[in-house]
Amino acid sequence: MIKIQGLRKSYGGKQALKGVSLELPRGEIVGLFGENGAGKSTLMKCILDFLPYTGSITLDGEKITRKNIAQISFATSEHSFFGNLSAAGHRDFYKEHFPDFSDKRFLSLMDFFELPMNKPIKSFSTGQKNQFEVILALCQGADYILMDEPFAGNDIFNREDFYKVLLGILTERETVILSTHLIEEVADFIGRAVLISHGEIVGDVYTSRLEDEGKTLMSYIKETYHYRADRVSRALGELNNGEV
Amino acid sequence: MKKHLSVIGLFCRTTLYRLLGLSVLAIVAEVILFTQALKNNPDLGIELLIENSRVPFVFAAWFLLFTFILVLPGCDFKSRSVYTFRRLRISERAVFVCQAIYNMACYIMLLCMQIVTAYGLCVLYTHLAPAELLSGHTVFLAFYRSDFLHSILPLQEGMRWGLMAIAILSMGICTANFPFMNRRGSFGMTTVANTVIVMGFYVRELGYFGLLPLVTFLTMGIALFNVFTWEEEDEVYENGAAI
Repeated sequence: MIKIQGLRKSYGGKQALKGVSLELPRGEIVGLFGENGAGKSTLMKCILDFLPYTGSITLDGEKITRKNIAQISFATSEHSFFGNLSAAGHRDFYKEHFPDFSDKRFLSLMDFFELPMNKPIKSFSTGQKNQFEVILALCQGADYILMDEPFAGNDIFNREDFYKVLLGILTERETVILSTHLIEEVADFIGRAVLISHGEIVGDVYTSRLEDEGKTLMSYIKETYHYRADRVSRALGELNNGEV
Repeated sequence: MKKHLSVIGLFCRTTLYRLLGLSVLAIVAEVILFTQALKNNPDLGIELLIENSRVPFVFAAWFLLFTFILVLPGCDFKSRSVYTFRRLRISERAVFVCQAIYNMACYIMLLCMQIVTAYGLCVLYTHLAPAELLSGHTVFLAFYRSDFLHSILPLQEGMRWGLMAIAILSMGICTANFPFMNRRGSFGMTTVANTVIVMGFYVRELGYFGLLPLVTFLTMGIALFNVFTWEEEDEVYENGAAI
């Protein structure tokens, strides 16, 4: 389990995370939602120990270091691969550094997405690069797969296919933490939704509970963020009145 | 050990073909320029011919582009490879050392290729030049008389071999330092400075040591500075602060 307690992170004077506490057990698919700058990416980078922070983040009771970091993989829209290296080259490299790398899964996903094995990744389209980034994260053999806006630039068919594949291949040990703005797209795919706003967790709910209560994920999010449904019509009305 | 070799393999896979391609182009350019100069000035001695043919300039360009190719892997220009490096089973410090070792090997390869090419040009000269300009020791003497040839193959001048070793060592370290600094959002100025210094002192006449010890210390100083900076940065990272 990843256990986060009292996590605080500041950039200069601005607090990006204000005492976040969260538990992420194995076997869940967690959607991480929030507005731009809410702290989603910062939270992920703190989990990976890429950023200095105060508070505590543990993986199965131990601090995350080089010894256990292989249990966490990371797919980001910023991309973390080596542009001049081919997919086959990445596979060979990852196999040396991540002992549980799944060759079988890698080949299946490469085949599914019809990605070339021997071309440098830099020659891929943006969508293909995103797919490859996600493939690497899924094949690393990690128990925790962090995905930060992994499909920015992919078309909807591509994304839907991916969700289906993901549901089919994940084992019960694997946890996916998916940060995205595409709430409705992932609503049927995730089992838990964590809402973050201005560096604080403002909502944390299992989708099964929402179903029991007869709510949709979108309605829960709007309710949590106090979304005003009449905001657009009021704004348009004011604008039109102003013009007249 | 396999993990370290895989990192060296990573740098090798991303640069070797480019380095070899560049080398082929440079060698072809040197051969063309040399044969052209020999055709235009058949009565020149080999030392002057090497100078007139601008082979040393081609080598300088070759060295510069070689360095450019070597500093690119590991830089965060279009993707954040730092996210991968920091999740490996070896430290980023070890990655730096692996890259430095690989880069040193590449510079040794560059030097060997230039020596073989220069030797080939000298042999070509002995076949094409007028008989009155040739003797049984033409090639051997050329490597003493030509500043360029002597600089790449100093024969018995031990000091020059030492300088060459330091140049290769410092270039290896500095070119590995560049991507390391780049991943931290800094520009590897020492890499540029070191490249200029190495290029500046490389071609010198036989027995000339006026500025060489100073340059040597400068080069070493820069190399050590790079290592010092790297250790400092890495300590910050090891303690949990980075990016």
